[in-house]
Amino acid sequence: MKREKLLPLVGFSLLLICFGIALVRVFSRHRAESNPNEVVIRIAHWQLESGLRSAIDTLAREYERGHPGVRIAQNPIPERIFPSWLRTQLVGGTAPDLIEIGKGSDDETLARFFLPLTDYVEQPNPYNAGTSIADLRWRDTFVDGLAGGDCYKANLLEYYGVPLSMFTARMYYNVTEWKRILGDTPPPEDYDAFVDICERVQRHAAATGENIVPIAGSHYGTPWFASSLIGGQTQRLTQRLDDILVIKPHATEVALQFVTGRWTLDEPDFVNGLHLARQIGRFAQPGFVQSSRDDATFYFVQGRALMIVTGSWDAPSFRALAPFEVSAFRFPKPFPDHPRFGAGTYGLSSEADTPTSGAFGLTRASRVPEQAIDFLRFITSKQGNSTFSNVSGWLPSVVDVELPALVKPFEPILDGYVNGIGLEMGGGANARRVIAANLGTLFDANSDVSKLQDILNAELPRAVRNDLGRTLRQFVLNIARQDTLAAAQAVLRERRPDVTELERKESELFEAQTLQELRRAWVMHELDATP
Amino acid sequence: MPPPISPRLVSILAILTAPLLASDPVGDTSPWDDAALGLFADAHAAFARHKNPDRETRFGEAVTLINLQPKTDANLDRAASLLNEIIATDSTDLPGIGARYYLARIAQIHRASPDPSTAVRLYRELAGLSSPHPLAQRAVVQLALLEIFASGIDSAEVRTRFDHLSELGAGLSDPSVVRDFHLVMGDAALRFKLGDATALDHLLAAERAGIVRATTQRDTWVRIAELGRRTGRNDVAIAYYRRFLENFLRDSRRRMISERLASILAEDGRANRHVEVAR
Repeated sequence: MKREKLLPLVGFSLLLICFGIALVRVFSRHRAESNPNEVVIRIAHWQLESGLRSAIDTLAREYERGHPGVRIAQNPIPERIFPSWLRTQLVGGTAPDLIEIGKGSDDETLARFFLPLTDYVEQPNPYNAGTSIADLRWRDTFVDGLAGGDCYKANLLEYYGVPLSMFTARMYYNVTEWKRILGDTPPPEDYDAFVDICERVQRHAAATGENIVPIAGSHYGTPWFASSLIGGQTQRLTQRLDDILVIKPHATEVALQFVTGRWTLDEPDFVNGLHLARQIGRFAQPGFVQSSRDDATFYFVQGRALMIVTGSWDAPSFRALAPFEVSAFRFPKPFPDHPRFGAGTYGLSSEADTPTSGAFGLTRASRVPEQAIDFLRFITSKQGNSTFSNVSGWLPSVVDVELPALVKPFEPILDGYVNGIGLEMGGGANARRVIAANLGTLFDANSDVSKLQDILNAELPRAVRNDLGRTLRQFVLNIARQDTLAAAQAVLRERRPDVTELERKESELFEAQTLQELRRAWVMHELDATP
Repeated sequence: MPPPISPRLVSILAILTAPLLASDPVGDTSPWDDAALGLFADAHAAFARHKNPDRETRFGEAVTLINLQPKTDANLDRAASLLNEIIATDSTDLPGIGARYYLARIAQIHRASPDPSTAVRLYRELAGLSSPHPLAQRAVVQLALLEIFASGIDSAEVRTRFDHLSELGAGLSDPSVVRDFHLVMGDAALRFKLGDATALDHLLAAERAGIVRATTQRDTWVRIAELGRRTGRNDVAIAYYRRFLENFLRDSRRRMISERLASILAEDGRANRHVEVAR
């Protein structure tokens, strides 16, 4: 047969084979789901990291052993397509029972397609029986009381998610290379010890000709690290700016104070932070500001960098990818007694506000809601979450869970001080864009920090002001929605005076709305007064 | 018996008809339940379907119209018209007061070009009723936000307005309104530098009225303690620092609050004395 005729035939055959496989998979799944003697609980998420999938798999098999006739089917979906996949499944009525929430799940989606979990989380988790947290309400067994992340929806006044984990950022290091180059030197406790380690690595590389740098930098991790260093330097400045006496100023307030000139980028403490970040930048590979997250990861796992800054979510991937032992330590910062960088800092920054993450919600389409809740209780029990942490290498979300040795370095620091102003400038998109576009200047060997100051002084006020304008629009959208929600709560309360919960809900909604209106009023007042 | 329809087919059809299903009701609930869940389109459709709507149904149609997407002037005009119909029947009974409050909200928040002066006029009229209805009383909270935080007024005028609203607020009785009023006034006193003692009194009043949200509670307790420290009311400071530490075990402020508490206790020389919570 001629080649021209063969090729389409091969293509068509492949197509047919694929179609056949797809058909078999669809019908076999349909048959499995139709088995009247088996309850199938389907759980979907976007965490493709091997550690998390293995952890859910381990918990699923454990649950199945204790619950004959129940099967757990895990469905990991790529993060990029998760929102559209979610929408399709929800609208089509084919959504799994339990779905990770936080991407593509706004308030309306949750209200329409997910069941509130409030009644469940107000009761103890039966899988905690016999443990130190047996008598606690389910929600109180989580380190943040379900107040953070995607669990509680303030507008809907209901809990919609139950979390599995939480995340912190750390400096990871290659233990094998560390021992080879630095011997028994322990991870640094303070900034000077860290600088000393970095310089020793540089000297080692120069002396031996080895291709290794102290830190793998990137445009992903560097702004983060730089901001953390600056935040340490501005702890005292932040307290001086705390006009409304909350000790922990809101990001919007800090941004507003910047726009109105209450503080500037020329504050000595802020400038010290820039100097610190610049110092650390010289320990990263040349041109690191242009490097992506993946570039930096390759640098690290190939042994060409001793350390890398990233979040605890990367720990299982590093352990799977890197042909060496990996550990981590928290960012070393100068203490108040530091001769050059001590004046603006109180000391270690607290991570007590770290919220829980990886929350799962229960869909209204679930045909087995009680069993799905039971599985959720199982995996977030003290024992279940301990297994999760052990297998995944992620931090647990439940209180009193003993941390595995591998996870210990990521444990949030609870006893520290409120962090200061960093590079976030309110966290708006415009400010982020200006900073990302110009941060490279800070590490330019041919300039100094004043060059970045000049650029930011020229561009940042307008960017932050635009971000505040966007914040105001967001406030209005939220406040406007709350108007209808509040009217509904008020009517329901009058109709059902015996349901005391409705009175609390109405009161909570008005309280939340008032505080947003208060912040909006102040931002408008200050922006109007600042041309 | 025909074969059952495949769930896959249902799923494909559902995707194709998604826009048509956008207002699919959640279940066996009243339109007000849907509205409370943020399902405004569903709730609005249910209210609008009524053939002989009573005043509450008209109110429901109006308050769901103001958040119906896309948000248009025509919808807002229609909502205002419905509210005016309710007011025309009786402007001082419960639906009438609700309608007046939401008429002011449309002017203040919902219009593309807000009309604060109309909102102030409507709120003043509502506040003037001295009604026990929570929405009539809430007009005073809105007046505080609009009048004290208005742009372009000097500090003397801010003080005058603040004092006037303080008097107006003295007549409030609904606990949730009392709380919100004092939260606004306490914040204004701090931001406009109208006196730490005044700010403290307002925040203590808000606390007495009953704060519901944990985030508000922790911030308010910190502010009360800090103001207590600044005004020399160390007993208040100690009580609220302690309350915070006892109740909020995970908060990045704990270390600083512990240090400030220790400092005050050392200053007072009464480290081991029990201090009653100032209420």
